[in-house]
Amino acid sequence: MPEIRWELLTPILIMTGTALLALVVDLVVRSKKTVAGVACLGTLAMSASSYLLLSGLVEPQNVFGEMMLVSRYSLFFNMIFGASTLLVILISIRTMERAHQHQGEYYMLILLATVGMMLMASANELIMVFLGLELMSLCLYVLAGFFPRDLASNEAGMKYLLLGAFASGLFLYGIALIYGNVGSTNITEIAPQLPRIGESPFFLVGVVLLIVGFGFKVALVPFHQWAPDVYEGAPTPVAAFISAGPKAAGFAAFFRIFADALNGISGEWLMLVAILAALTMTVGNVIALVQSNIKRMLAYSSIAHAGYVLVALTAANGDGVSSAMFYLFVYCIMNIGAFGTVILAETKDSETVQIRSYAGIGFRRPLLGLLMTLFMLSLAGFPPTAGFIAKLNVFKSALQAHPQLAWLIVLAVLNAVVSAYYYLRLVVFMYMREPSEPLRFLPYNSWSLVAVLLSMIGVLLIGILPSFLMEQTSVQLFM
Amino acid sequence: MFRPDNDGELWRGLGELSMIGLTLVFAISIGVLVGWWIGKKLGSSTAGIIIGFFVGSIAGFREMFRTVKRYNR
Repeated sequence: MPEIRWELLTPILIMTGTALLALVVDLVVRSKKTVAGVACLGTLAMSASSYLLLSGLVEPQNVFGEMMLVSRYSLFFNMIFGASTLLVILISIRTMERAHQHQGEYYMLILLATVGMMLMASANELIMVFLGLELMSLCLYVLAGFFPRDLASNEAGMKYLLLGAFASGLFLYGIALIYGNVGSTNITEIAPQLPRIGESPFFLVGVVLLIVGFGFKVALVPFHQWAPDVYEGAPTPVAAFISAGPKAAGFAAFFRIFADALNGISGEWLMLVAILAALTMTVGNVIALVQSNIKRMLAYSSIAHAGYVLVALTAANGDGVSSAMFYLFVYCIMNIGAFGTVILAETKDSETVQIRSYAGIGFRRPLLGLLMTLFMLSLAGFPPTAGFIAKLNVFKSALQAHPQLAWLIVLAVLNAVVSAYYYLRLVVFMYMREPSEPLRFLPYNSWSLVAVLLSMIGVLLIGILPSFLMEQTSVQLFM
Repeated sequence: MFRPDNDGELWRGLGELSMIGLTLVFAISIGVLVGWWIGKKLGSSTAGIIIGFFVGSIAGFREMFRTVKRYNR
């Protein structure tokens, strides 16, 4: 039996322990804020242990035989998941207090979904990727339909479950076909076999089915149909969560398999991925232009951002992977910040989800207007925000690796220009339109405000001083 | 929503609904295989795979939506 180096598993063990502890604390304490506090502390401890391991790790280490690979790559993704989960827990507190139901279970599901994401990022086996994917997805299906009396939430949960089940099925078919050709599901054993099996049509079908499976999970066009309905119907903190961590986890596994294991046959899938990236960016941005509901707009925006991340995969080298890691970190922070601002804009009766309802907010609620403007500018990619540096990195890495893909970069830049229209439209509404009826906003919730302010600091700090984060993401392909 | 009147109809309905996922898998797989084969004959298997992938996806989604629509009626 191989020796297990438990210290390398500390982040996963902390997260799993915190999830179980949250459930127990929920049973014995009356104040549900304590459960959220436990979840926050556990997430912080996980992020800190990941950072400590990342600082000291030189070579990637196999754990549980060769089932998992703890590397700088997987540990950095742990920190992305940690940041996303922490921010989501903070913006969830008021929503859950108002809902008065199953608060302990809510935080436990969020934490267990995070464990699933961590397993995906550190998986060295296709089976382990699938296990992580399912652990994450099952929690997310429940979270999307968490308010059973709300029809929209029910519909979101059901749609996500059905389409998520398709995605899992497609992914499994892909794994089965690859196993049939390679004779193993170990990711590191695929690359050496490529000269023998790279031309096999059934192996190629397996590769394409993996792309489709991941395409569903990270909402690439044409597999994106679930995203707007789920984001609109799910509770806003859950929509923020689905748009951030799970997307990063999907990309972590996607990059691990394609930029590493299948790099030898990149000629076969590169153009397909480039076309999917082009379609995803364009369709996401164009449909976002006509949205009147801010949650749907952010859903299409997140589809478009998946397209930008996919551009980094076309580089298929260390620079591309690093730029994608940087992009995903920034994207998670700014997107949760935007959703958090939507939560801060809650009125006494309901959430403020119609874009026209934001008319005049800029002057009546100056802090809210300022925060929303900052996140919109960052999502659009304006300097000096983090969104600008992130886009620049991705485009630069793709162009340097494959100058023949210049058309994709030109299209991505054009898309960024198009996206500025709908992001800035919200800013125009906030500062240049008069409200049709006076809205009675609730006072700011301090926890949500802390989360949004943390996001704001992150977006500005990374935008002005990106070098620290860049150092952490500089990996020699999954080291 | 699909509401069966008896057990036979229930199983038939479940069977047909479970075909939705298979339809998508088979449509994409067949599209890629045929695309790869034609592409190889014409000198570019990659282009064949890409075209086959999109044709298969469109066919699969079309059939999926038709089945769901039929059960919604």
